[in-house]
Amino acid sequence: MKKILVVDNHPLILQFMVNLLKKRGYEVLTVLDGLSALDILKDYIPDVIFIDLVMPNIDGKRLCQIIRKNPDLRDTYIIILSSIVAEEGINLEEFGADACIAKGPLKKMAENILAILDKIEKKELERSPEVLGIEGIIPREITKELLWVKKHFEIILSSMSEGILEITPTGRIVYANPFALSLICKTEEELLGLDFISLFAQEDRQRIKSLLEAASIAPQKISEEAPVILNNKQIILTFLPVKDEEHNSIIVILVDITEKKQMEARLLQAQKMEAIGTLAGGIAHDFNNLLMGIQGHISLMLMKMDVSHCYFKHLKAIENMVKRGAELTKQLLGFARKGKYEVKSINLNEIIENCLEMFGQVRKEINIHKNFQKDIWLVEADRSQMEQVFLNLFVNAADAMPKGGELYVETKNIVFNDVDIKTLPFKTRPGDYVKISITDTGIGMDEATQQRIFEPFFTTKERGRGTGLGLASVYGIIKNHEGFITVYSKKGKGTTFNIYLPASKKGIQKEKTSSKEILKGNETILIIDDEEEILKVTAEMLKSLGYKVIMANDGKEAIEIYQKNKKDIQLVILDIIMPGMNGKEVYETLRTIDPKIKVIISSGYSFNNQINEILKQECVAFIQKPFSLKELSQIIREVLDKK
Amino acid sequence: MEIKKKAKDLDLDENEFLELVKIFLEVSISDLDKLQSAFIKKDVKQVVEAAHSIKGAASNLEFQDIYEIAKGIEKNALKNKLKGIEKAIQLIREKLNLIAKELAI
Repeated sequence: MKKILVVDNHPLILQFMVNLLKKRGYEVLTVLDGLSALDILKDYIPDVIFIDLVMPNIDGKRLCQIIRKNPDLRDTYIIILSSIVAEEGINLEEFGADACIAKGPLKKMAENILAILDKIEKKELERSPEVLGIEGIIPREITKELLWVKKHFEIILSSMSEGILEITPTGRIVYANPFALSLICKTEEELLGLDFISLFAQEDRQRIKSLLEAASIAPQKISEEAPVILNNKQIILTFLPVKDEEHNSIIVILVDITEKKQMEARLLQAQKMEAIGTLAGGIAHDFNNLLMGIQGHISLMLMKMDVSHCYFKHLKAIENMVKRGAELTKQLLGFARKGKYEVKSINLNEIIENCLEMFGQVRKEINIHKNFQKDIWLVEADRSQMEQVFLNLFVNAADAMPKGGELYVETKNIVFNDVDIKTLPFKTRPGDYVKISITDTGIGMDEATQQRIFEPFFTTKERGRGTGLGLASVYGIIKNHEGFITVYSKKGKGTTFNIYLPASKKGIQKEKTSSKEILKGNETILIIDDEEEILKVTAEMLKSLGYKVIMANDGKEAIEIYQKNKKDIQLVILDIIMPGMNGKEVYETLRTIDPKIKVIISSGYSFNNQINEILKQECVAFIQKPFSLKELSQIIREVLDKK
Repeated sequence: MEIKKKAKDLDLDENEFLELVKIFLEVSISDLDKLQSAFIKKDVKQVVEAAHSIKGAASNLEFQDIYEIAKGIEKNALKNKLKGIEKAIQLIREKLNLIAKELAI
């Protein structure tokens, strides 16, 4: 046994050890701190290492632990040489050390050191918790206090939710708190001594290097606003230079902002969707009013025209296009989260079954696999909007599988408790939900596409095939039903949409059946609409059905008319969005005049909370513009014939 | 100071002893300077560290009086008491000078 390494930051101890050991024929190397020791140990295998405990740049305890993990040094003896062990007591197992000698008067130290080396030579050294040299040492209660203070700092550092590293001015890591270790995904033994910059991706390294250089000469802290990437996490780095006459190091604070960034992105996305929704709703409203005008005139012309007339087929074609236009605005309104019109407790299995039947007839190349929950919970929803949702998703799946494929449709009752909802990628309330999963084996989507699929007018389909409104309306409708939709997709593998809708507590409600005929009547109807054209065409339509019509351009006029003629007027058709007095105010005033008044609310915009409230009243119905003569005729009879 | 006796007490030869005392004086004077500037900056942590270093080395060479003064500084600083430190620093400095003078270092 020849080679000895001494690690101690006091030159007096180092010189003493060199003198003592060289005299006895040992080869002695000395270093001033733990980091330098690690550097030397890369290609030097000593037989014995003496280690002080309190040192800068990786302290004695950590150094011992790192050495013990190094298989090349498994036969090397570690002897602790420290002044603090006398009071602190030491667990050699924890340190991986073989013996411990207390610092004190040199004579005593020399005796103990030589005795230990002698035992090692004779292979007689056994690990013992005894601290040699403790006797005769003047009790050092101060050191105890020093250790106590140090423990406070250790507790604070280990409970922090920021990563804390200490690095040398050259970038070597000499300390890491537990949170830093978990962020970096390394053990302390693996991390200490490593080059800080090497932890990061190549593209971030130059930036971090410049920051480190700046921090080593800066008088104050340096914070970097742009995050760096560390193990797929977004980390903000702050550098705090620590300087005194002797030491010079940098404390690095690592703050994980990944979750915060994700939240911000989600909020931004939600705001964007909200803004587009408002815009889409506005456009849909104006379009529906225009379509109403066209539809009204066509209805009137067709009513008086024989099928053999040369213009008949042209008018039919226009009517068809109006229908298509109305379908488009329906999608837009769906996205704008408007138009939840007839909410009932419904069984989604039945609706999906119907949609699949319809879909399966036209897409025979697709194999449909159903897995429906028995006794599925009901949901409160608008049936036609739900059909819109599922048909959109099925068509979408089919378009992703042009050569055919598999379509899996699953329904399930699920319960989200307080804990579950925290793990979901969206914010929701705990409770009972119905989950619908629609999976295709189609072309799939990349991340960027997935991010945008719910935006209106975003489409990957070729021109003329997709409007870019299908998924946008799905999104809006589900949101409007207080539900959520998520998408999982892998390019080349397929896509899954999961829809979650809150379960209803109510029992199933029957839906009304509509007649196919045009129904006539002879009562007097007051129509209120601010759009002259709509007013005129609706009046014409009503007259053609046999009704007597009174028109009002705004709410004020309508109220005056109604007050004077309330005995003659059996029904009011009221536009909900008007300048001045709005539909709701008009309705409330009319109701004070006659609490049993019969009203049909019409709107090109949509169904909203205002309308929802009015519709809770008896004798009130809703009709969405544009409406055909037949639809108008039927709803009028429905309201008027209600007892 | 009887060099021979002191060296013998520590089980060192005279040259070795003188070499170690020289290191002790160099490091302790530097520690004392640090202590002084830390005291001016009211940097308690630095005061404790510098006093701790002087105390340890004094104990190694059995300079009992310096050990006691350094221990006092450390103990008070840990309780955030810096009063009287200047005087203690002066006292250590004098004692270090005395050692240097006696040993003609």
